[in-house]
Amino acid sequence: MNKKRLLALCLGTAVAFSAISGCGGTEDGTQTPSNETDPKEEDNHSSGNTEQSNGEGTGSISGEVRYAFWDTLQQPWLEECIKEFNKIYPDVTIILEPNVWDEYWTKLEAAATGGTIADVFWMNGPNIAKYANGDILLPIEDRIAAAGIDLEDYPKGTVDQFDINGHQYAIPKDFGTINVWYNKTLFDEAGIAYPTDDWTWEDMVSMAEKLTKPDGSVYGIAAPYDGQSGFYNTVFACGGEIISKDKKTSGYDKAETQAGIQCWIDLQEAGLSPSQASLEETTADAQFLSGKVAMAWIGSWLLPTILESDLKDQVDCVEVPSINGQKGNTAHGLGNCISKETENPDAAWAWVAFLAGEKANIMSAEMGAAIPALKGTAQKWVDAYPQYHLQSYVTAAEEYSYEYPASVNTAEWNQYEADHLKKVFALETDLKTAADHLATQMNEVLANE
Amino acid sequence: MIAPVTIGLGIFYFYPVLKVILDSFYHVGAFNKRSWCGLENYQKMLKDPVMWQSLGNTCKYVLLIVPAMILIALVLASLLNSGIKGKSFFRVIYFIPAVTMGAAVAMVWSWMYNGNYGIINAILNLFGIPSQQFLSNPDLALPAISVVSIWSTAGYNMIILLAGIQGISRTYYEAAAIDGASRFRQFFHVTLPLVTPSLFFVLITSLISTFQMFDTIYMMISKSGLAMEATQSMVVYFYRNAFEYSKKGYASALAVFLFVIIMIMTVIQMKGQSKWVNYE
Repeated sequence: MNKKRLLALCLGTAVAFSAISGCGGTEDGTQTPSNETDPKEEDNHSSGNTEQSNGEGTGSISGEVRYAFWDTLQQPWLEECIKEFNKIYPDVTIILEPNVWDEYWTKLEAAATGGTIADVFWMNGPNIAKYANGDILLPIEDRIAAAGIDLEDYPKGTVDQFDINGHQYAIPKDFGTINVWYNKTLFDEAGIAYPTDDWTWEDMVSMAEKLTKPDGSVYGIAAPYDGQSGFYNTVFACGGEIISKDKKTSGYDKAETQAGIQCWIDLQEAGLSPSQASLEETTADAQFLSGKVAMAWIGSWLLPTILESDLKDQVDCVEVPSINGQKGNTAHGLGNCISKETENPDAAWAWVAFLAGEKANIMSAEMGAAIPALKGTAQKWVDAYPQYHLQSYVTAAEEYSYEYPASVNTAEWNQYEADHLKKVFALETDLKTAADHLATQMNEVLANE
Repeated sequence: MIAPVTIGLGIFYFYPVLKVILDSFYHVGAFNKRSWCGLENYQKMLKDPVMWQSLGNTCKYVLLIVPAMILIALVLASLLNSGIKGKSFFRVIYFIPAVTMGAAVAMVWSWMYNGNYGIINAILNLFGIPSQQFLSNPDLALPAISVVSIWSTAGYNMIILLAGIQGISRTYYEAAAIDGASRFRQFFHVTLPLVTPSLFFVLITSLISTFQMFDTIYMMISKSGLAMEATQSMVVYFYRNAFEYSKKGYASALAVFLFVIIMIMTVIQMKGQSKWVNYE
């Protein structure tokens, strides 16, 4: 009897550890050996290329650098980068640690807490303050100056985003903006003209009405709950804000902000989009690329997915439509951060500097991995795919982009955003009640920062 | 001799138990920054509507899964104990889910459930029933997950019950047959009472494992999705607090609370077993 009780007790407690031990591991197991470079291949590489070599003898740097990132679409590009990098630093081994977006931040935080964080890893605006304040990151402003890298050559908004309390923690690697992609075949079938860069939200709605088929086989547009690729852009266009400039208050209780969200809800109510439930199971870009949706708002980072799609010859993109004459776009950049705990800071820095350099940026452009951040290289990204109107992504960044809304505890209020607004997109609650409630909760979080 | 086991249990079980209990009295934020907060986590927990909802969800899982699963396992076990053809084959078939990785099971089922391309909806459509978003409709998601859980655990429990049934002495059946009892009566008056020790074991273990439901929900329901609130169990809510919201202290309090609930349930069953379990 007692033994059984003990057994039951043990089983009962297992709950706590099954979850904890389940996420103790931070590696994916999918590591990519990087020493594949065949020295004979080096013959035809351009000798005129001036790499940012840190001003030191490159042979003296050696060691292993683990590199964590979340977008596996960029892995082919990174593998090429490693080959080029090893030509300069043959003794440095870069180990790629790919993750999926959904798990990335959970794993990164667990790894940082447990002291096993990668040496170099991707960082974004919503999370930089948390990691910088948590004393996880290595400040690199001195190394940037020593290597002669000019931060003026990178988008100012993204550079500033990685500047926390006077320390620079990352060099921007790429940036992303939002465009509307449309399926030309479905437009031809419906007999309507393709959208142009000067179109308005009303144009988009009337096109969506014509494109939506009554039997539910094709929807005119996808209107999912999505901040960066969706309502953030229209909120900016409507003159609203997600978070105030001083990052002290929420913008969700403002009429302008709510107007920028309501226009998406109207699309859902009119039946022009697959339901929120449907879009949750199959994302907007997946439904668009399977021909189920005729128009979708898609970020520039998804270009590799589009290029691999069966529909790649039937689609094109255009700038987002204007609302009341205004356009808005969320420009958001990633950077490479170095862990404070890294055992090989020089090797880690060499890799970060290489990725910030011209060669890596141009390769990113040509392989379509992402819009590279270095000044002048974005055009190469546009030129690499002349079949699409990719210029509209760059125009968005240059002419009407807004900073990605973030504060110290962004993840926490992002959660409240999802909790409240998803129900609005699912047409379960009304926007005003939900957004006002959200603003209250978000203000509480911001007050504690 | 027992040192390896003791050390293993110590490191992976007893130390974490103490640590979780200790942590439940702290605010533990991102990167393990902590400060003592006494009973605040517990006070907050008892006032947290989401906690109560996840506890309610957990109870729903138990009520949906445990009885149905045990019934199915019992029926399968007695069928496979009779003289039907190819019973070894069927025993293997029913046991396969138990040796399949939980994550793989969840992935395959979520494709089958998919609202746009899933096979289950394709079959429903054949009968003129419109497609359902099984995993994002809050009303359907919990039953949908329960089905997966029943499917994946019934086979394992069937084997345990089958062993129990086979342990029943033939003499009881012979005596019952001589007295003219039909197959049906033999089942209810001989098999059922004598398999209760195995049933008791199955009941306790499946109750505990259902109270700890995690992987199926975590894998199948999209994070902070529409159906999350209506489907998350206590353990999922614990996980999200600990690893997604960086509130490890609060999460520890949740784990301790769940531990107490499971312990009470188990004690009640232990006390109750003399009323219905027959040891030969």
